[in-house]
Amino acid sequence: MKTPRVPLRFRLALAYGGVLAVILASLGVVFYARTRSFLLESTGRRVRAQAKPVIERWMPELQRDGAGAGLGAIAAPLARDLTSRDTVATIIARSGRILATGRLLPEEPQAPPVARSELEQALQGENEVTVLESVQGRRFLVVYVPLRPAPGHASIVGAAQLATRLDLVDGVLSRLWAGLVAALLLALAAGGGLGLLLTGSALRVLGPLVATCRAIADGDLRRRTGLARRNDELGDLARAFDEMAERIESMFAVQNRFVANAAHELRSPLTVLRGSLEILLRGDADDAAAARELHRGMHAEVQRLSRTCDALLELSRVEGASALEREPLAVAGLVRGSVARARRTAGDRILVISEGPPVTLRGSGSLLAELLDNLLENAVEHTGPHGRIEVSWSARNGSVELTVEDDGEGIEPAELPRIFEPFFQGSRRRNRRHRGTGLGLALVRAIAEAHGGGVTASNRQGGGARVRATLPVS
Amino acid sequence: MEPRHPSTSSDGGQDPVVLVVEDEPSIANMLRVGLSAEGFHVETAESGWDALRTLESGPVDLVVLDVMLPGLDGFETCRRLRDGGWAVPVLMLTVRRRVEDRVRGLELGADDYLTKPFAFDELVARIRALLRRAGRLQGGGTLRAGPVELDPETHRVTRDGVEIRLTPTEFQLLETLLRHPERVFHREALLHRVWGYRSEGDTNVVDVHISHLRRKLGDRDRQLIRTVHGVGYALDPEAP
Repeated sequence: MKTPRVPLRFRLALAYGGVLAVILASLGVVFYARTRSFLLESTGRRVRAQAKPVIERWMPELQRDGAGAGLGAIAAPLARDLTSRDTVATIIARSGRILATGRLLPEEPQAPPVARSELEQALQGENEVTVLESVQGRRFLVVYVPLRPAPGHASIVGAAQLATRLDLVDGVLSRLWAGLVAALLLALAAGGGLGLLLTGSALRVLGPLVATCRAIADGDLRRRTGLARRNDELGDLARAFDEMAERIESMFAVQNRFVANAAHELRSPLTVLRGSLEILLRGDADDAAAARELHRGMHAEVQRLSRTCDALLELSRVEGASALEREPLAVAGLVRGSVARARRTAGDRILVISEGPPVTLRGSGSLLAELLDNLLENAVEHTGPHGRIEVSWSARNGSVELTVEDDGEGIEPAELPRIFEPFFQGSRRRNRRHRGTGLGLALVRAIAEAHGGGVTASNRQGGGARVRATLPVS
Repeated sequence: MEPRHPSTSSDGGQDPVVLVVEDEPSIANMLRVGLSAEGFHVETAESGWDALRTLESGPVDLVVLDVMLPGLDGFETCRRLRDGGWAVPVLMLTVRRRVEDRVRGLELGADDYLTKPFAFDELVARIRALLRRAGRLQGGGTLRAGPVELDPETHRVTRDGVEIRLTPTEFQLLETLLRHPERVFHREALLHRVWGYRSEGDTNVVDVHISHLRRKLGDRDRQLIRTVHGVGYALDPEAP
């Protein structure tokens, strides 16, 4: 089943809003509860504070008239004095009998019924008995106050029930509640809206990014996001993306050139093979010498194709090698071996070794010999019959720099970055008589890189080329 | 511009001279052997400068010019050759299939082009067509053997002036034989030339068409198209 599409910015805004709502709601609930208990407590205190002087004024009357029925005598005026517009007082005897209630005027509240257990607590000397009661839909705070003949006196003669209307407090609380709810909703709306706006504006960047991805997927490798100048995480993303696209584009270009060059490279042998075979099939080359020449030509081409094939395999093997078998190698020995081999095909060219420091490096002996052989072969190929080729090395920053210089025709400056590409053919080709596989320098680069090094080419001041392989010592 | 070297072509009666300009020795060799066997006199040059020198030094009827040459490339060589006033037909060999390359070659004065690798048959056919167009193929194009005449341009075949209707295969067979008078063709070679190298290799089909051809040409006693036993066929240009 397909899940319905919910845009990310809505989900983010919803999450923001949700978190905000939970925080605000818990704050509101705590605030409301605190306020309510504070208001009720202060109301109770006010009632007791107002009652205290009245009670203290009336209670001494009991001593004067003698104990016993005394409370009944002062109950009515006491209750009356304790009663106001908001509060109604009821005087209760120890026995629990209601002696008097202070309500006279109709606007004064009705006294709620006496709560037994709270009354008992008050009669046992509890000073702070407070309870909430509801009478006919109106809420009251009911306080029970023990009545003593004198303040601090141990005996308790009865209790006064003081019931205060909570209209005012309830009004304040309900307004507070409404305000809190409104504030919560407002905050939610503002937070959600703002979140939507902010995430929307942040995520709008994704639009061009997605469009760029699609364009690249459709084959337009030159497309870039155009957001790389943004100075935030999305800018980082865009930059990373653009770098990736850059790399892909250049890799594709190299790959395309490789395929084109390889196909190009196949055309010459194919032309020879096809032409020769067709000539032989036509019966044109009936004379044995001509046929032999064609056969020889085809054989040479097939051999060259085999060499190219081997070199290609070698190239992919070196490029794909994860770890080399390394052994300690003396650079001087490597150079001498390769130069000796190169002299066999160098004709009258002069090959010179310019001895460097006696360094050893860890690497694959066969691959590094191949690297040097190819560099020398390349130099021989690009120098005149009496050219001079010099091999030198130096140690620098934990690396060995192997340099092969010649006094040949040099390298076209525009072609410098490309000469290490497989099958690359420069425009300054001498001739095709000593044609190699076209993979020699590509192999040089692959071997240098497999050793964690690299290779560069440049032109010498006085003419000729300089190719330098940098190889880390270990 | 008046061609400076209008007389560069070889005289009638001699093999047409083809200059192959190709720096790849294996291809140059193959072309030299193949074109020589086709009855051309082949000169070779390794570079554009070489080619221009060869043109100066002797008669050349056609230039086969590779585009990818060291130094002076094929385009540049062609331009210089035309600037120098040579009217000789030029056939370019290119490895690139891009239209603009061909257009460039043709604009610079090349008469035709072929992309490598090419069919040798096609190269020969194009060389012949160019030579014919330039009027440098001997006999004005009409091939003759005894009483039989064949005009490759109009596809007309006559014997003693009387037109003979041939199928396209018979025509091609006769043309092949007429182009190489006296040469003994293996059946396989004829099969390859006429039916193409896609043919299955059954040489009986050659014998069948040869007998049709003989009947139509009135060659009952097999004097025009001789059978060479155990080998194949050959045409006798002096047949009565």
